[in-house]
Amino acid sequence: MPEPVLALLEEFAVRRARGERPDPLLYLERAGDEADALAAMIEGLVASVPPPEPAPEVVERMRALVAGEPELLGLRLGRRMRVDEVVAGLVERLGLDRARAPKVRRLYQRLEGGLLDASRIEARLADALARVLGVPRSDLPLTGPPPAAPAMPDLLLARSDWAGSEVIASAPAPYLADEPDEIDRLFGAA
Amino acid sequence: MTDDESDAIDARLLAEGDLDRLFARHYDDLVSRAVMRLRDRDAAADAVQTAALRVLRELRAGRDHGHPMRVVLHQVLTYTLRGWGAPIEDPLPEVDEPRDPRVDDHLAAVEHRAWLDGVLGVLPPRVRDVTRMRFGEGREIAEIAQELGIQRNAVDQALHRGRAALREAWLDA
Repeated sequence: MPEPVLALLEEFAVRRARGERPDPLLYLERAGDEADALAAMIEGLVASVPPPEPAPEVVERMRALVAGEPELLGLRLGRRMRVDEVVAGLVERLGLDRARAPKVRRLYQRLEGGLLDASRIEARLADALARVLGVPRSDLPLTGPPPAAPAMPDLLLARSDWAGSEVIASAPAPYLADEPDEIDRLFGAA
Repeated sequence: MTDDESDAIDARLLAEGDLDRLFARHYDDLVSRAVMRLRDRDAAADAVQTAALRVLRELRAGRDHGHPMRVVLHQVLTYTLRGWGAPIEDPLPEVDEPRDPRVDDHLAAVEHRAWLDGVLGVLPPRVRDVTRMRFGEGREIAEIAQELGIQRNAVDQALHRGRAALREAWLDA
């Protein structure tokens, strides 16, 4: 039974104002058939009501974003491509099972964010990536010293935690717990 | 915090070059908006990152948007979301493109109507205060009653009107 949409909006607003970072997607699920109405009102709320003090992890994430735009990320944004488009292209060109796209996505985002050693990726991944992004292989920004330690927080992988523990509690186990496979080897993460 | 105070914080952070904190203030709200449109957390985070980087590039190139940063950030996100899964339709010129005066008009219109003060502007002061304390500050009903020196049922009545106003502004508009 969906909960009254105004009550859900109010609960979301109160938790947001208190800095609890409620996950709006969970509220839409609770709204059932009224999800579209709640979505419109949450949009209105967050665009209209002054924001609460940002969480420290959000400040850290924005510090990383402001500090330096990774070149591969800049290349993709410059070509106005979404991550999912790049991932779909990689899966197709590499002949991977489409069911493995989420793992390709996670590793691609680590690569894009400068969190993987780009010099270790396999040549066929580099070739596929160049074709997907529509640039010569030599123009791919995959060189440079490997990161001794992440130069920035885990900007992209950490995104799902933006809404706090609600999301973390329902998230699948981290991919690092998996056995290394072909996809790990492609990305030099095995 | 009032709307003007929030805009003033943004203006100060911008003047001080503290873009980390400026973007962080609005990050969760921008992601929430993107989630509402895309219904996907990762895609929403991508869209917000794209919008934030665009604003960042413009600021570094010396662009003065001439409007509060929360208006700029939300509008750039709106334009970004239009291109998500659909042909790019981007009426906000990049910093190296000719300035389109229609964009300034549009941003000014958004700025005028976007804040809660505008939404609640026509309501009696008590309804405005109660609604802001509840939706903007997350205060408990009893706490609001005590601070304003009114009965709890008076808070409930004011909130009832406030909720209706928010519904009309954000849903029925």
